[in-house]
Amino acid sequence: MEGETLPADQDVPRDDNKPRECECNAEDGSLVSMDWFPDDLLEQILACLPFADLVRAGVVCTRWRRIINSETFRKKLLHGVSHRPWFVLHGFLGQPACAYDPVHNVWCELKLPRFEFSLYSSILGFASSTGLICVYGKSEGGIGQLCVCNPLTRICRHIAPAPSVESQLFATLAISVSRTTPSYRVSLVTSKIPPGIQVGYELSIHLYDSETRMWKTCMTEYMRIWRCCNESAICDGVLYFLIISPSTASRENRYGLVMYDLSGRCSNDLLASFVPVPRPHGYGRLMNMKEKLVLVMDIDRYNGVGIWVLNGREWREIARSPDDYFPGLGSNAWLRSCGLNDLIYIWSGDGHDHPSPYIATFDMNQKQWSRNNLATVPSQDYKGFCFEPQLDIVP
Amino acid sequence: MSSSPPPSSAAASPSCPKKMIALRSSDGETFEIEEAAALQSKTLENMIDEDCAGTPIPLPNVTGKILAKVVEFCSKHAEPGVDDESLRAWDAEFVNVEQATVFDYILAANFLEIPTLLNLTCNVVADMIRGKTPDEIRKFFNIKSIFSPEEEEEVRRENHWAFE
Repeated sequence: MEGETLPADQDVPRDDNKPRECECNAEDGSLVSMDWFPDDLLEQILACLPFADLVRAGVVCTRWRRIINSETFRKKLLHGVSHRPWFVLHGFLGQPACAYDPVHNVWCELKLPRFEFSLYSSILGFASSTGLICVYGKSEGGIGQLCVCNPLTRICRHIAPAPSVESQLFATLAISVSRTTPSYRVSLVTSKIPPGIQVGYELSIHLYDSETRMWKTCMTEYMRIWRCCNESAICDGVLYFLIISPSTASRENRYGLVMYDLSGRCSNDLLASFVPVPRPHGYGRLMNMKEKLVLVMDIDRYNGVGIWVLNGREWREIARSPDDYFPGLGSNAWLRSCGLNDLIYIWSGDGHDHPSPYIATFDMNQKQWSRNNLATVPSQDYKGFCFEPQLDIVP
Repeated sequence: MSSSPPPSSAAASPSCPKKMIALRSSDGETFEIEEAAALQSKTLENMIDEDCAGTPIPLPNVTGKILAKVVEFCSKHAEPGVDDESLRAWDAEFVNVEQATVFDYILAANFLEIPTLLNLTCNVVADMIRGKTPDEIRKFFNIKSIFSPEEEEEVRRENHWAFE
């Protein structure tokens, strides 16, 4: 509601010597000023901006900064955002990242802190959650590096790597951001071949807590036939990860899920918690959807993609992709997926470096599938992740 | 579209399905608008309910030039049977005007509480902001940064990347 009194006749030329904020000139010389806009109007304009622009708008002037940082404005913004997390295609090692904002249906370039990751010669693990992304990589000299970062504000924290992490062979990373306190936890599961041992792997679970700023090695176990692979997720205080038995010729139970209670409340016998994946040949993607563990996996090579939720020790199928979404994934095909809150993003390729031209989304709440064109995105690095843009989360 | 309405114009006779509302701009021009179109404005809706029958509703914050366009907008949006796509195209043409006029539309839409026009015009202004660096935004809107030195330091620290 208009609270200010405006001059009755806006066509009268103003005194040009008086400095004004936020003006623009009309053709007939009269000056119209954004100065006259009441706060709630300015708020409404700023609320139309995609996130990346919003962050820039916050440094324009005192008034804009005040509005953007205000509680009411943030609540208005995040109301839509948190259920529709961004999807980002990242190129850490040199290329810029492209982010898809589903609320505004717009792709924008996201300048991730490349200078931080320039030390990394390879990325071994990657995780993302509310507001933060976490990268684990190796530098040229073979030293393990771990970095947690807010991609919007580009504030990074390098976390001293967990003890004896440098020589790990297989690793998977997960991050869990607390919604109640400004803290997060990073889990790193590693499998390495212990020196002098011919068969089997040593699996370790390391946990970093941002409140104590310390790493803790939760467990180390020798496993004769299993090792971790690339998927893990933390849901409701429990770490879930996929393990693979590379030498199982029959491919039955080649992949399985195990879980580890991070609070240490229950006795943690990993293999006792083993749950086979719904499709024995399949390799799935794990994600935390509102503290439930969700698995996305191809149903079989020719039948599309399924989505399962873990209930206790059993998988419950909740959705299947429409027939024309993932036709003929083929023998070399790959499937990638990520998700957060209510949205799951899935994309695939035929293995000859021809990713499909669109990305599929599944809304868990509305049980709806949809497709969006990737046509505007430069087809380069298709490692993607989801995150919920948050300005005030600090690593 | 301006005319002097006869005194009883606002009283709808039972046989006349379209009730016309009279509006008077800040500079004395009078406009007629169909009730259905007027109801797009929450402000007008309240005033109509209060039964200002007969007399034109005074709008001291809106000039005749802008009010004419607002009436045009509301009438178009009250038209039945217009498909979404042509309405969107019409809207795009409607706001294809100089900045100052867009600002006038925003203020009018805000005062009259017309959500459709407000949403449309806010997006237009937001588009002017999109993609610009903070410096470009300041130049474009002629904003003189008035951060205090301490604030400026704090903002620079928090958002150093935005200044690149």
